[in-house]
Amino acid sequence: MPAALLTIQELVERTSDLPTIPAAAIKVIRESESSTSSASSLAATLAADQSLSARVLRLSNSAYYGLSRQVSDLPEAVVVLGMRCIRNLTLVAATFPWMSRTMKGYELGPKAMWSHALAVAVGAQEVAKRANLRCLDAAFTAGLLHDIGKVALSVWLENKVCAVVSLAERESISFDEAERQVLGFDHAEVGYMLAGNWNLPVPLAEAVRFHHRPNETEPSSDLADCVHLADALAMALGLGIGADGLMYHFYPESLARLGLASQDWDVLAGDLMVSYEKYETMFGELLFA
Amino acid sequence: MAVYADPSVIECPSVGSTIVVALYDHAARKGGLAHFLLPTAREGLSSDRQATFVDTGFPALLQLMVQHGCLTENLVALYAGGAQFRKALADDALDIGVRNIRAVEQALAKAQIQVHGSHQGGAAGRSLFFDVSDGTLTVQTLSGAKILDFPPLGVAA
Repeated sequence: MPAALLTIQELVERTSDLPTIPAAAIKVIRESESSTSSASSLAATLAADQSLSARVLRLSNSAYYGLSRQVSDLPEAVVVLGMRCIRNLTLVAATFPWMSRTMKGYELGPKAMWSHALAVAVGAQEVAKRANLRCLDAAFTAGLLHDIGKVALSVWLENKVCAVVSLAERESISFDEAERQVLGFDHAEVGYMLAGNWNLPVPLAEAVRFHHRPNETEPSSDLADCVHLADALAMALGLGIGADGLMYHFYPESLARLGLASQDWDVLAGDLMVSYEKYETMFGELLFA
Repeated sequence: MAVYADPSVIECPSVGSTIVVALYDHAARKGGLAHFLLPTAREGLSSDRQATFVDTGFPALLQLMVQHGCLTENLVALYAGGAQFRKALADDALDIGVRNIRAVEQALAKAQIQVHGSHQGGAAGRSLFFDVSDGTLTVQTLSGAKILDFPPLGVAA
């Protein structure tokens, strides 16, 4: 490794405009996961965030749900959409301001990062479903946030991305390995630090950290495996890929650990695409309007 | 999937292991473009979904071009995509890029369509630009490292 430029800690401390999640959104997510929550209690929490409330009402009245009547109050909207949909919408809306930025460091256009994050979120949920896991919501969250390290690292990589890509191509190594050689750390490690700063649950932070190296978790992590597989599928399908393309290692062991076989691969690819298009239409209309 | 007659440039901005096939009839000056996600369709899919699989979508593209007045014997093809992960996979079933390339090559050979050029494999994502006025296909890797221009399809290879 060349002379160390910055430690991860220094990088995080010196990066202005780091990604954050609004406190109101965190309350909605916690309420939607609470065993005592109800449509009225979630609606009351939602009401504290006017922008989110408006989006929930607009979504429940959208053509997608095809209701013949107008939904005009939040408790009814909660019933129409369901807790899971509101939780996912809250997360996607809360992360949208920084997910939708152009990230020159990774050659990602304004919508590319958001598309990729959404694809991996719905993909991780599809993988979890197919593997009969119960962690569907955690899989969505881990998938959505898996590349948050790129958001922080992008500005530092702007003048170095060509060197990282050249090194990865010349040495036939993965992009994350090239990041480690050039910067001293990779975007997954930066993401892990941010996840720690946000007090995200440990399994979720570990999934962010090991999404390119799922074989290195000890013990194995279902969430890391779900995100690794969904990330591979999203890259293969070309959903929000940048300068790093498919320059990563793919570990089929993740499939085996989840009890899945190679025959499941194309089925998962199809399911991811269908699910992505559904969410992209539903949420994209609300957020990009 | 579509057939284009107006002189315009069609962009496919983000191609990973998927594969884009461009067909061009130099006499009719019409081009057809399809972006395939996977080699084989599964049962029970709607017809618009079937367009995204090589085995169902490629014959549909050919049929569409004929419906637009193109002649199969005039068609020439370019294709690009099929990116792969860093480490070769022992199990082909998991390598969507390799299988997509193979499926497109077989489909083109079966239809006896002349292949004018291809840019395939590797680990980089690609953006493609298809110029309907002369059938030029420009391939740009998403790392910005290389730019390839395939010659116009209107000129015999």
